[in-house]
Amino acid sequence: MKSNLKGWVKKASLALAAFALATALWLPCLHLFFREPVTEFYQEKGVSRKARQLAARHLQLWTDPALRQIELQKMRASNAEWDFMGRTFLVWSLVNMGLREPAMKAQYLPVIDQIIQETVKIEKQDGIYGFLMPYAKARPYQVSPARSMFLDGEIALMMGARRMLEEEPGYKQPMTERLNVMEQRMRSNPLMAMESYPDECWTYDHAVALVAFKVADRLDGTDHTALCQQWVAIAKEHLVDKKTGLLLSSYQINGAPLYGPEGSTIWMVAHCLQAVDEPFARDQYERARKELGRITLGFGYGLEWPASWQGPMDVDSGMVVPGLGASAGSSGMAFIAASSFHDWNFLQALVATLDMAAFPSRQSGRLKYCASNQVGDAALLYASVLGPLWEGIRKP
Amino acid sequence: MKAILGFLRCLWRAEAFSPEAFLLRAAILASLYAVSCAAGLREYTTFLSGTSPNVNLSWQTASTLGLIHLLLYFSFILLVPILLITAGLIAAWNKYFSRYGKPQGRSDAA
Repeated sequence: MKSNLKGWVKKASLALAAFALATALWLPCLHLFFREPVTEFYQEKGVSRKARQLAARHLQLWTDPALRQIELQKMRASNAEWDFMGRTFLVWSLVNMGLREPAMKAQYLPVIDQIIQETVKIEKQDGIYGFLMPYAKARPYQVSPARSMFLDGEIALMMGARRMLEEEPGYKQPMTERLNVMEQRMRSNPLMAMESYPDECWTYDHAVALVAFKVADRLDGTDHTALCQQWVAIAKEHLVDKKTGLLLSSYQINGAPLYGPEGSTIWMVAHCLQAVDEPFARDQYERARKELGRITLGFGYGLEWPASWQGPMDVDSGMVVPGLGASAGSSGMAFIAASSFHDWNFLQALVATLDMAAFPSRQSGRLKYCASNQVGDAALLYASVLGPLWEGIRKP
Repeated sequence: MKAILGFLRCLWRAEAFSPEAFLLRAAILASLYAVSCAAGLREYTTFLSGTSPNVNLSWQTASTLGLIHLLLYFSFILLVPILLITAGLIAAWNKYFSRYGKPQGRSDAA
């Protein structure tokens, strides 16, 4: 009996040691099965294979109304914001693709126009609340009439981006009107803050709005340089988290912080600031990379919060992997920043994670990630083609 | 066919810490993952993005299906290779000791 037990313990110990050794051998090798050249995802010139396949899936959604309805229903059931952001990321992506491949403009422009016009129509029908989360109705906006910088900034940038691809006079006036509203509200606030939700101002939306101002300067000969510089100066002084040096994500209209530096915001902010103030943008990216970007066993991901800030996991952070702290929202946005700042090592590691954990599904040359949704895939598409639009804005 | 059945019988009867037992576990996990793929459960992993995978199905049911696929997938890419390597290591150990010393892993099985 004793000898039996001794034999069993011996075999169990051997098996356990073999299992531990096997784990130590396998885990560092796993990423090699998902690693591919970064050019599969992002190319400096032309359009990468993945970008083309992702775009094919989105174009199918916008040319097949029944399919689109199903996708939008799924997203709006969770968050109306995602429906809106899925549209904006797709328009910005198609503009970049058109700038990369001018021969494809004729195919992209009708879809871009359809998205913009349908978005504006929904906003007209349902008001600003049509694309906002329900809590927007819980209390009144501090500044009336109620306007959301989230909507005004992104719609203005959609229109401006479309005009950068090919001028369409019909968009000039509505774009200018939105920019004027934002400029007037920013100038009337000591922190140049405009609400996106009642008494809630988001750095993300301000950064997008600044790019829209720069597009207008390029297209219409206006000059918002001073406005943009002033915002950056105020942000550096009042909106930076002292421990990390990263911009806060959101704050009240009087500047009281709401959310600290979160991954789902700061990556996109750094990308947008690149069109406004390159050194500040790079500084923010490098800080974010240090505080929030991780590569473990060859797999890249983003954290939602830096170690020094305790914040909630919410609709922005998405699912968070326990133990690692990898956030779906932050990781998705990290693609945009990594492409934007040509951080190929991080981008390659992020793509390995995407292929490992997001369940890619290919059908007839169309790619979607099952673990993602329409807005997630649109943001990935944007990360894989961004560049030419920003270059167009920045060129002297 | 007879050889395959014989091999499966040998796997099934293998003792808990033998290489065959680890192979069996790997085979079971791989088969379950294949069934999950064939059943189309991959589509339900969209619950990870906080999106309802199927508007005609309750969130709980759809998420459970997605979670099942998620667990089986990670078992397939993490556990299955580890189990296979473990089986190989134990087999190598046993072979080494049966040739150069006292066998360890299969002493009772002989």
